[in-house]
Amino acid sequence: MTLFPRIFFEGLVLGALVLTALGGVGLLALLANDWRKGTLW
Amino acid sequence: MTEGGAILPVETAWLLLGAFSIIWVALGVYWGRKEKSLTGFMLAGRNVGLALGAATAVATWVTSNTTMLAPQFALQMGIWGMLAYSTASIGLFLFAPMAGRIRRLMPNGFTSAEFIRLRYGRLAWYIFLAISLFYAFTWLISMGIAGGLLLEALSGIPYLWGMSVILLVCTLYTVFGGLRAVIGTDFIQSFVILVGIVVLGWAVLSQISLSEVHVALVEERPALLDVFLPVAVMAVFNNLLFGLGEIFHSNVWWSRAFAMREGVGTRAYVLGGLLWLPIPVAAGFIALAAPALNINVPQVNMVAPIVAGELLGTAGAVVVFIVVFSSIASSIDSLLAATSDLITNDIVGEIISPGASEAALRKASKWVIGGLGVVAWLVCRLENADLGTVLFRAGPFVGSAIWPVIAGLYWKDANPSAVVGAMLLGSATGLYAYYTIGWYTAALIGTAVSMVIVIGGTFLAPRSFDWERLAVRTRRLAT
Repeated sequence: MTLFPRIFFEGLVLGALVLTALGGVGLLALLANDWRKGTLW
Repeated sequence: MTEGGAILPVETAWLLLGAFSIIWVALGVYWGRKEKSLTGFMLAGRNVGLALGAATAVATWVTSNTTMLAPQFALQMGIWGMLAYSTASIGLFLFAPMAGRIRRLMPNGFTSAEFIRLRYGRLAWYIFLAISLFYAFTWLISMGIAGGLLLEALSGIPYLWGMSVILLVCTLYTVFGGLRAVIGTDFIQSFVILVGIVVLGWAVLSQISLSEVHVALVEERPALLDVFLPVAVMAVFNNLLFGLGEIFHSNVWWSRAFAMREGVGTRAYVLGGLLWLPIPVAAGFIALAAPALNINVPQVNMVAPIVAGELLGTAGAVVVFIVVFSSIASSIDSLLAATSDLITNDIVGEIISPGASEAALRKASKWVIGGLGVVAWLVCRLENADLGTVLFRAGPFVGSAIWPVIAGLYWKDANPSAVVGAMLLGSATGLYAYYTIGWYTAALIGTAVSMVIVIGGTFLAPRSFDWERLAVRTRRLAT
């Protein structure tokens, strides 16, 4: 049985958590930008 | 844990449920107070910007399946299970250019079924409408049932009460605020979901390192790290095609394409895909930590809340409760709005009362949303189904709609009769595969059969189409 190596597992999980966190921050930044420009909806 | 295995005290759960319900309904009333036109109510004025557009794509695609089933997939199929779930984001990426094209080709469009009617004629429209309504209603019911079951499992709130409150709240704010309320609350819900998942991931990592999780998996559950896990590899393809079929055909996504401002749709869907992509892995890994943390998981479908409750106590349970509630509400409201659009625009406006004015349809739309909420509640009262299989049963139907939609948007010569045959035969063979081979093959086979018929039929008998026919205004403004 060939297993996914530790480095792959760590990179995958850490990468996912960092991307999720960045997603939250990014959404707020986008909202602020649209709000400032009056292009929310 | 509290009595009955729940991880959150029932009083706290009611308090959270009550508080969020009041906030969502109040926002629905606030955002809906100025909506006087059908376009305003159904499509938020066709002027939605990038932030709200991207957030609504993420929130709608994060269902309770993402937050609850992704950890279950991880515990059953390991790394491939999480990756398989993540492939559902590819649907958002591939729909991105289509969203832009839909907005350009149909500047006055309302629904995905309307596109099929204008593009392929009424027979294809009837079939597509049946598939769309069946799928949307299946999804709505599965979310209602999931909501009731999850609230009961997490907090001990009786199934009937939890399910009823979720459906009632979502129906109320969608009736009051239309798509604007749906998209507005989606932003808050998507933010809550992203923050909640990061908090839970951080909680796990504060107790144990990823190296320790890996070591425990190698020793106790090596199959979860297997690079070649055949069932999981099949699940990757099935999930990918299921995601494509759902997004390409469903009015939930088309109505957002119509609602976004010209030039926003493509970027919003790409961003939505990027934001969604890591969520199944970030949520799923919580389950993989269970062996290393020596946490006993008696029910695999409750692995995420069990781990969160063990690690963070009541605080973890509150986070899971809010994330799950937001995931379910953000999908139910979208389904109510998009399904009501299909019924109002395509059934009321085309079959029952052809040529009805926008004002009349706007009134009808509110009644349809309310009626859908009631019917969903009645069905949810009767049924009790497994989270995954209810929705996967619709896989062959949506899979068979992928190629008719793609060909309809990009292939000038697509043959309408081939499209009809593709949807019918694709659905039938996919359903046959579901029962004879396994759920994980249904969407794959339905899509493959449909593809062969659309491509083969069009090569044999091409039918040229004038794109301008899609730009027609189908609704008259006067009362």
